[in-house]
Amino acid sequence: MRALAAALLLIAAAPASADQFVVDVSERTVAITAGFTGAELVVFGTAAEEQGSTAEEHGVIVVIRGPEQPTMVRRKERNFGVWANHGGVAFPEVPAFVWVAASEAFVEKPLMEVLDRYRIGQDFLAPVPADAEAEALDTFQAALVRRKQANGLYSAAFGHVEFLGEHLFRTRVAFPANVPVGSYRIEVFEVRGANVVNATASALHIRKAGLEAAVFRFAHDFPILHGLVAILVALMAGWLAGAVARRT
Amino acid sequence: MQIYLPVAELSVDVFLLLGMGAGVGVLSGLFGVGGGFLMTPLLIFIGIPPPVAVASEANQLVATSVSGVLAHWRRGAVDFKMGLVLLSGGVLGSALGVWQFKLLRGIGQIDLAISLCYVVFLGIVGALMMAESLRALLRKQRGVARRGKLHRHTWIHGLPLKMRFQKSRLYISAVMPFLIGLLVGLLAAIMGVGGGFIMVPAMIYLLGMPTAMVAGTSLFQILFVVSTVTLLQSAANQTVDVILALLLLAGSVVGVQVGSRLGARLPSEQFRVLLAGLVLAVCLKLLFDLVTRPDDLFSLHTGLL
Repeated sequence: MRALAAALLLIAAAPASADQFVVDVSERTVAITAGFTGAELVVFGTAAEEQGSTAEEHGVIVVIRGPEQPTMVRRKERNFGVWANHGGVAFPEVPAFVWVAASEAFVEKPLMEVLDRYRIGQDFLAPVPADAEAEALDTFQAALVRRKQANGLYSAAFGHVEFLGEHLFRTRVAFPANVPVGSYRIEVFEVRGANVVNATASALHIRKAGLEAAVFRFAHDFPILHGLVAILVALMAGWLAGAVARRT
Repeated sequence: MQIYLPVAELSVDVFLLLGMGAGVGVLSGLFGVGGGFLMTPLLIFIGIPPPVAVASEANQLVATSVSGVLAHWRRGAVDFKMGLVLLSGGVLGSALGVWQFKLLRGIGQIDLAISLCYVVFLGIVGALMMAESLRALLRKQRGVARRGKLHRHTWIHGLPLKMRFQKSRLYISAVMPFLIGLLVGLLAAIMGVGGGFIMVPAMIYLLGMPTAMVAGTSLFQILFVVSTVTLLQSAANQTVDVILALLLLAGSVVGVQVGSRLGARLPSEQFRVLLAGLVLAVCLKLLFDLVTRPDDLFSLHTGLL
């Protein structure tokens, strides 16, 4: 936190010249450990143009998007009185996480409209299926976005990008506890009128660390050995518990 | 206090898991049941992906059954020959079950299969337990004791491959215990249960084993079957979460002690009615979830989910 304050001070101390567009993030890696309940990052920077000076719609849009995953969307149907999965559409590359924030000029408007207008990050709103001929494709695409939003993995509305003075901006992003591990991209766009006038992208890594990482890697890299160890650990724990219980 | 479960890939309250372990442990201690048939649905209710719930519960059952087996073994109440016949069926059954599990998971039907198995088996077992315990209550009130025949000759005795089981004083076909073991192994793999609730009545009523041998022998079979399931699930599906299993175990160790001490003092017939009621309630909740229209008909499947 102290490092962040220092960084902010540094930027504030050097007044941005008209063509300076600088962005940074408070942390480059997020480690998921045993006590992980989510993480908060600050994305901050200086905009080149003076806030609200020329055009009416001037501001900054921040998009953070997570690792691409193959994702299957399944639909339930009623069979013999029971709701069961029946048919689905596979999407080979879907960003696991998308978060969008914008400055005041945009936050009142619908997310999709703004992103569509400036052609920013819209692909996640209409993911590409493995089979382009799939029946009722748009319902499945809409369902994918809706379920992601319900799980807190896609923005349902804009987060707030705050301007401190004319150039300096910052926004806080909260990653939920169920955030997928992998490589993320932080994209920042400066928008004026109908145009994106500046853009930057940087990387962010979310990974498991410590015991959690070791257990997960062991389970996936050596599944048979992991099974044997799981049995041994349980045998020992059970035997120990029995021995303690007999003493008391 | 939240803890991040590395294989389930979500964070859960530690005290909730310990509490669930303790609660189911008390019931295990009271009634001498393994508790898998309550724990796995509970894990699913709190949001653990069903494949992880089933496999991790099998891992926990390894720990809960081992001390029981040792205790019965010390008293000489384990029929190893019968146990091995049951086990040979059990290993085959659990291998078939894990294979089936992987297939069903691939086509997106595993959650449905787990729920359906639970509804059917909890329904049957709950109803039988309820009827049996109500009958016992009535009998106690009337004070009439009935005595059954010592040996009844049924079609089971006509099966081939007869074997002598000295410890249980039985001379029966090995086919029946093999089939019982097979069924229990299948259930263990798909439902994450030890299967005692099926096996114990089957051993008493179908095989005619003496009650003194039933508990130890069934625990012997369960120990090896849940170990097999743990190994196979880990190898085939990577769904065993050791941290989850250990937390549940820590809770249940305490719970079982409380339960078995309570059990000595409480009227067991009345409590059996309660257990039957609980089993039926879990069954109805699962059935309700299957037949009511879900809020969103669509679901996402990436990795474990």
